[in-house]
Amino acid sequence: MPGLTDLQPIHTAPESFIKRCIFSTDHKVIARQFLWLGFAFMLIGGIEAMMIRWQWAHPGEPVPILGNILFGASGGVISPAQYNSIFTTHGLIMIFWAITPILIGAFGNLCIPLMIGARDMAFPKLNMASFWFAFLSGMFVLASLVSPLGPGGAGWTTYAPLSTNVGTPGWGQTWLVFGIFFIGLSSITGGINYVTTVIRLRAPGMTWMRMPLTVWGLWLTAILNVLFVPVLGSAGLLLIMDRVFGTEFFVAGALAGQNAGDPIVFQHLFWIFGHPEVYILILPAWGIVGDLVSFFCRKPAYWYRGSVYAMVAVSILSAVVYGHHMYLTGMNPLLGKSFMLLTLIISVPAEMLFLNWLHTIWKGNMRHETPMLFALGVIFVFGLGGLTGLHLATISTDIYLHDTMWVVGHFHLTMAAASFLGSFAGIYFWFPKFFGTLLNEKLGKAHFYGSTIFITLTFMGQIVVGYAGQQRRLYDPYFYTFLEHLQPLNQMTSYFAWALGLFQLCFVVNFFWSVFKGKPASDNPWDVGTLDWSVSSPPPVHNFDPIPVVVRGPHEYGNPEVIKAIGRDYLSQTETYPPPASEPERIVDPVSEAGK
Amino acid sequence: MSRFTQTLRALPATLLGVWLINAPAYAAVQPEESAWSLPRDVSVHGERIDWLIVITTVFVSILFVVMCYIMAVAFFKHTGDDAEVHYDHGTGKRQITFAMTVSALIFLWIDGNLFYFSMKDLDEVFWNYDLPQQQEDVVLIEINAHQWAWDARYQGPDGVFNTADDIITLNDIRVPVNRPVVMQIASVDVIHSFYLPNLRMKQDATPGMINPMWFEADETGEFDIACAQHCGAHHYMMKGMLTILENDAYEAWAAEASRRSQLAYDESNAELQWGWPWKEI
Amino acid sequence: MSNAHDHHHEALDWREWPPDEDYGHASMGKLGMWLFLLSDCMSFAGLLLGYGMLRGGSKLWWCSEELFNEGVCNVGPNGFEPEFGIPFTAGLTFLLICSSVTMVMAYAACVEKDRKGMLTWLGLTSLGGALFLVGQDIEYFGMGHHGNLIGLGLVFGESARASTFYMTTSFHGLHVLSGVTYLSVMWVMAYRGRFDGGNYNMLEIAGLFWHFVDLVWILVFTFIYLIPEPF
Ligand code: HEA
Ligand code: HEA
Ligand code: CUA
Ligand SMILES: [Cu+2]
Repeated sequence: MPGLTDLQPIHTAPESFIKRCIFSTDHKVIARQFLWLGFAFMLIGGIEAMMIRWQWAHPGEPVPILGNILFGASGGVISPAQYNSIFTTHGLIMIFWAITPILIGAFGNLCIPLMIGARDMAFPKLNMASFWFAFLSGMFVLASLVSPLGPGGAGWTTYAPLSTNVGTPGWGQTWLVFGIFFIGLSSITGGINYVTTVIRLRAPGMTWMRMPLTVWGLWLTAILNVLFVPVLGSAGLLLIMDRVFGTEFFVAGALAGQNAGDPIVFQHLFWIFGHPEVYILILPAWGIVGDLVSFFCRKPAYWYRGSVYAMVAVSILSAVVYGHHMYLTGMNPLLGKSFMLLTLIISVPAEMLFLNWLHTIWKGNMRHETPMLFALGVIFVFGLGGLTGLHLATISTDIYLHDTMWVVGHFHLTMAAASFLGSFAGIYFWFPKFFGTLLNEKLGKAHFYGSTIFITLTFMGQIVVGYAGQQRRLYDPYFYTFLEHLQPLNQMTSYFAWALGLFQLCFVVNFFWSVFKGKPASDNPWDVGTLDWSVSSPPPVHNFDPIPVVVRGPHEYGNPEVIKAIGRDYLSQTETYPPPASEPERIVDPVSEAGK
Repeated sequence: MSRFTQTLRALPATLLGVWLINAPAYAAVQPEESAWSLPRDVSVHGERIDWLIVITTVFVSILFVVMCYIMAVAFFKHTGDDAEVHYDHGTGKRQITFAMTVSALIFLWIDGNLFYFSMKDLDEVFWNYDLPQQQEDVVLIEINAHQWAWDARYQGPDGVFNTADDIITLNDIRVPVNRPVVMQIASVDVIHSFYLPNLRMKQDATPGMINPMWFEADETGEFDIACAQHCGAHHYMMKGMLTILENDAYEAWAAEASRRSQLAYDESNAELQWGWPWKEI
Repeated sequence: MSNAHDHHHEALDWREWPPDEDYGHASMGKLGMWLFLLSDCMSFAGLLLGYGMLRGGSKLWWCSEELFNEGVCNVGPNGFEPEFGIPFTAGLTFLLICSSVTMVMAYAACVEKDRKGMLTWLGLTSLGGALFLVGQDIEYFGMGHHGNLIGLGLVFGESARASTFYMTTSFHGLHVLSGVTYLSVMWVMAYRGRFDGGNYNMLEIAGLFWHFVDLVWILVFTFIYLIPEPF
């Protein structure tokens, strides 16, 4: 009979370096591992983005600095096939190996147990496996990058038949598909872990409606991962069969009955996954923003339940709108129109979220610290990104805008800007829990202003050329007569993009300096009442001892009565108010009892 | 030319806040033809799309400006030692009703407008193939995409596809002005997307499928045919030329081209027999 | 700490933790398994959806002997593809359903602390799974007069019908193989006494997996084998 200790054992830190830092089952270590992995790949993806921008600013000219190393054979000039590989791997790496590990892998691992008052994840070993799947998949991507015939170049959407041997022979594309497959495995195992942890390991009193919004966001993301990544797995499996074992699932046959594959099937399977995926990437950021606006405006989160319902609604709706990526595939008109209506409906919960955030910052006492600035940045750029999505949701306007830079601008504003800035909001905020120190505020602010301004300029630059009709994925846009006049505009956008890249140096310097040289942070430097700030920075191996008992929601700020009574403008989630005259009758924590 | 001025077309980008921020920087590089603008519209129906894009952009810009205003006031005013926190969980009945009402109104206003006009445009024009096909003077063209060019086939005087008098062209499509043109689009290798920026039309070309598309031009001239779907190394070079001719000039060209095709017709060359019997739509 | 704590400690069952109405009471392992099954369900859904779309969109799905003789089509090494052996596979289906029943019996025996019964029923369940795999092998490669779809011209990669058939059934077969391995490990653990004394949690979780494999097979069997052509 398993005892109570089996549920949440107190483990001591392992002795050996390997067990402590490499094959660790501690969620905080795994969170840091995901963070490093994400940063490493974000650097690769970012450099690729800079090369894309070079090509559009100065098509056919040798790339400075990197050109001779990477494209030596062509005198430093990117070739058309290489260009395709660059944007393909840029898109895939940024989505699956940069934002996913940071936003979901790192924050999910760090925040979920700490914020719900658990000692670790539900399945620590599975958690470790999840990281190593991600690591392995990263190696596949690197293998793809150095494949003899070049990495895959069929776009991040890997549409068949371009992604079959018909369009991209060689191992590069196959490695990429393997990579996607394994990062999917990582997401599923991680997701199972997150969902179970949130359901089973919340501290007593931490009811659903007392969970921080961050945890809600991560939890919904985990559910979407568990449900929809396997569909991508199936599609990837079929694609690998087509590539390696000579089937023709996605290759249209010349004759009926013989090898009658269908390219559209891949698109359906891809987008059944792909659309939920984009909300997978934004839900954690929404959650973080929802919490931060309250924490830093010293005001309760406005209509907390409304925000929760809105996120749940978006998660549910995300399953039934995928067809909006396929309006022009010749789909059944009635089906297309239904997808249009459903897609438009998604804007209702999004508006509710925005209203709640705006209400929260209104008449608060905003502290202009870096995490807050980044949260405001998220609202700003996601506003632009979400609103430009409406033009795409509508079929008649999408006829013109589909596959133009408008789409690229839209999704960079939503995920490359909103999820990107959201990741930074989280990093600046939870840095003490990651590494025990605080990031430098001055550098942080420079990073914020530089990033937000130039991210807006860069990606609005994409929207503008999309509006002017420029298609995406063009090696040399100016080959088309109707796009010739866009070169100066694109050039300017490229300068903005490089400025954006340069501003990331503020962060890199800040990051390394703070990790290795930073001053130790206090337990609760932001005066925040959630459970993660009730433990030391960084937290001890088993986080909580004893397991806390929660008595209220996560956003108790600025209550005038409380300020008068105890001279502090917030209450932590475990604090009873009014302060009890004597030691309160507490619910026992049998786990920590049994562990002793 | 439609009733929109060039300035009005520049409005969306302008309103979306870029203009305010980037204008000084871009002003230095602004070419003569406005980069902010939609490409020239030479179609009868394209202005429906332009109008919906512009009006939606105006609407969402209003929302965006309101949002930025709230953020700015909160940022500059609701801060500092003397800021008084309005302690409020926002859970009152009136507050919730307010939030839901505002969301619903925004939905009805912006999304409702989009949905209504999009449905109208699709049913009346873009997905209504009866409209062009009921007209006597409709022009039918089959388009076959391959890496990296556009094959086109006209039925010729006999009114039947895949016969000796078919006009076959490569990257060169000619159509008469003010007559509806219906196309059926297919592909032999990978997915392409047939894109006519100046006519606001686009349709995927997928192997194994035949997708319809139609338009009517209202100006003559030469315009780009573009490929919008990534289709391999030379996707960027998959350019064709659309020539819009006066009706007489078109008829003359068609007659001559068909005559030449018949002369050059070679039944044994299977490569050239790619056409299909016109599909009922 | 006060003495009141000890009092609570005795009263609490670990399944009741945390003591709050808001929480589920399933064990973590069980929840994890349910989530995994949901996830796995979606991968089968992906494959079956792909199959459905390919079949629904095809002009001619099955190039049968008749059609081949009429000169309509020519597929694979023989020119035509065989029928699926529905009676044989129905037998396999029945076998799998039986193994689900024996799984329930094993679980019940465990709850009733009947060690011998548990080992017997668990062994039979593994055996059922293993026989199913043998059956699938016969179906693919043949034995005596049975099966041998490959020999009869249903070759992976030659047609969408063949490819989707092997893809889906072998993906399921892989699940059966994992299930048999899983159950064998459970058997060894049971033999070593891990589940003595009514400790059924792990067995119940294994049972969930096994029932899922069974249920999915019924769907696969229905969609792949039973839908007639033309339907
Ligand atoms: C994080 C990622 C993310 C998010 C959140 C979204 C959100 C949305 N997306 Fe986007 N989308 C992508 C990532 C994302 N998208 C990607 C990656 C692609 C392209 C993939 C590819 O082809 O490569 C894409 C493509 C894409 C298309 C296909 C376009 C095409 O290929 O032709 C469509 C079409 O409908 C669409 C629509 C939407 C809509 C309606 C939303 C909605 O959820 C938006 C809702 C938000 C709002 C409506 C704004 C909220 C309201 C305000 C700001 C006002 C507040 C002010 C006051 C209240 C005063 N998206
Ligand atoms: C979340 C995803 C994400 C992110 C963050 C980005 C970020 C950027 N993207 Fe990308 N992009 C995509 C997803 C993303 N992109 C996708 C999916 C596509 C489509 C691909 C396809 O068509 O198939 C695409 C395509 C795409 C194109 C179009 C290519 C084409 O159609 O031909 C362009 C062009 O401008 C572009 C530009 C940029 C730029 C300038 C950035 C900049 O924001 C980048 C700035 C970042 C850096 C310079 C990195 C800085 C490094 C760090 C912060 C790490 C710190 C390190 C340590 C601490 C060690 N991207
Ligand atoms: Cu053809 Cu792109
Ligand atoms: Cu989408």
